[in-house]
Amino acid sequence: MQLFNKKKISVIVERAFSSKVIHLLEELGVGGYTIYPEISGKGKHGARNGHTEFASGILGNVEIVTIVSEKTAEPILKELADIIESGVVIIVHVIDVQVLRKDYFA
Amino acid sequence: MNFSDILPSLFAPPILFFLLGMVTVLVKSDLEIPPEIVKGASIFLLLSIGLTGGLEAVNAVRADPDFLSVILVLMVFSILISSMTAIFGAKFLEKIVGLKTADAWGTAGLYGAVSSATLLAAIGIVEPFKAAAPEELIYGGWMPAVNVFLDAPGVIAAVFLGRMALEQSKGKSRVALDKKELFRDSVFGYAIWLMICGLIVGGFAQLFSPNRLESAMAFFDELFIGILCIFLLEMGMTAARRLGELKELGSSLILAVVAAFGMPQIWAGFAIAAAYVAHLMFPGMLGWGDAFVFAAMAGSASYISAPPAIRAALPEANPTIYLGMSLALTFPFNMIVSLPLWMIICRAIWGA
Repeated sequence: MQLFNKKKISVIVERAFSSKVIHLLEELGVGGYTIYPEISGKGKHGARNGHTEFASGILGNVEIVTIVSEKTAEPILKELADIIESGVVIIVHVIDVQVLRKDYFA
Repeated sequence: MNFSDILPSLFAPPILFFLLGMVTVLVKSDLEIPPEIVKGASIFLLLSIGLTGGLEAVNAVRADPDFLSVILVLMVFSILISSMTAIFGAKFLEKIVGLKTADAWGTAGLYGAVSSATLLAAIGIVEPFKAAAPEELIYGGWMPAVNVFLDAPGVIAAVFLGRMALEQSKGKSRVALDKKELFRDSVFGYAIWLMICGLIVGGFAQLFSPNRLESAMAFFDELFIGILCIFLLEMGMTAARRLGELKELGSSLILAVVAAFGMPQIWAGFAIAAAYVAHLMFPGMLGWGDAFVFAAMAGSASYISAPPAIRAALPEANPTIYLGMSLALTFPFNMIVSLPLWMIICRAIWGA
């Protein structure tokens, strides 16, 4: 059984910016991504209860997850760092994962 | 001026439910209306006023082709009012209230747009007058047709000018402006698009299939006030939940309150004046109800449809501030004080 090393990037971001992040990921050539909608939590910018408030559509958060090769991950992370600097509330983390199919994940 | 007419509007169920919505949050009740239901209610309500709008617009054109000129005139006024609200609002908020540049433009964008909830409440207030005296010229029902012209220009102006102002002081933003997304959000955003769909369906159906439309309208008309009550109950809760966040305004709070209560009066004033000018130009087309609804659109600040566009295009602006001002300050004040006030003024000017 051979496993291949990849990077899994998770981006927790306000729903208002999710399309920007997805755009970015697609332009940088990710094979695919998963969106976890309606997540809640609390952080330095306050509590986010996306699921209970209809009018907080803009403050609700989503999580976007994508698995990519280390080579693809680098420019993605650089762009995400730029977005962080611009004041968008965004939490990014990267973990090392192993997958079964090497070429399936760009 | 018959003041005893006003009282029923102040204590009408929709407004009372709004107030109780605020009370619900203040007493910390655990009442939660599922967001999907609120969204469903808003879809129904927006379609409803769109349909009536299209239907009544066709009737009005048939009655007098000059009506198209009225719409044109109101359209021009709308674009002016919407853009001026954004531009002067931003200057006022920045220089006098002391908000940061980004926050000022973000907030101004909301004030330049239209609050669908306020529009719905205004229609809910004026419809009974129309139903009680259908032959009188009070409210034509077609005013929602100019909604997009009062909504989109303000947001677009605030975003473009706000980004320019920020570029001058802080250099180019790292988040690029997606013009297509901005245009899509502000012109084809869900609230405006629903109204446009309603207008198109109402208009064409009234032209070619009025009987079928009448049966459809029975459903929308019958349930409108009830569903409006549930919707405004939630809006009251939503507004009250934001009250705590106002402390982020810090020392600017008092001036922000003044701005939140005062700015709508100015824009509503312009709107009433514009409606009166149109009334003088085309007598017999606009009643006090039309001016009132027009004022409600101009003097309201969006907090559902415009914020996503503002958030995406002006990320440097703090949403707590612009949502707080629009939703926690302006919206309740408009519902409780401004709408009755504007109604009294419109009735006085029209001599009702």
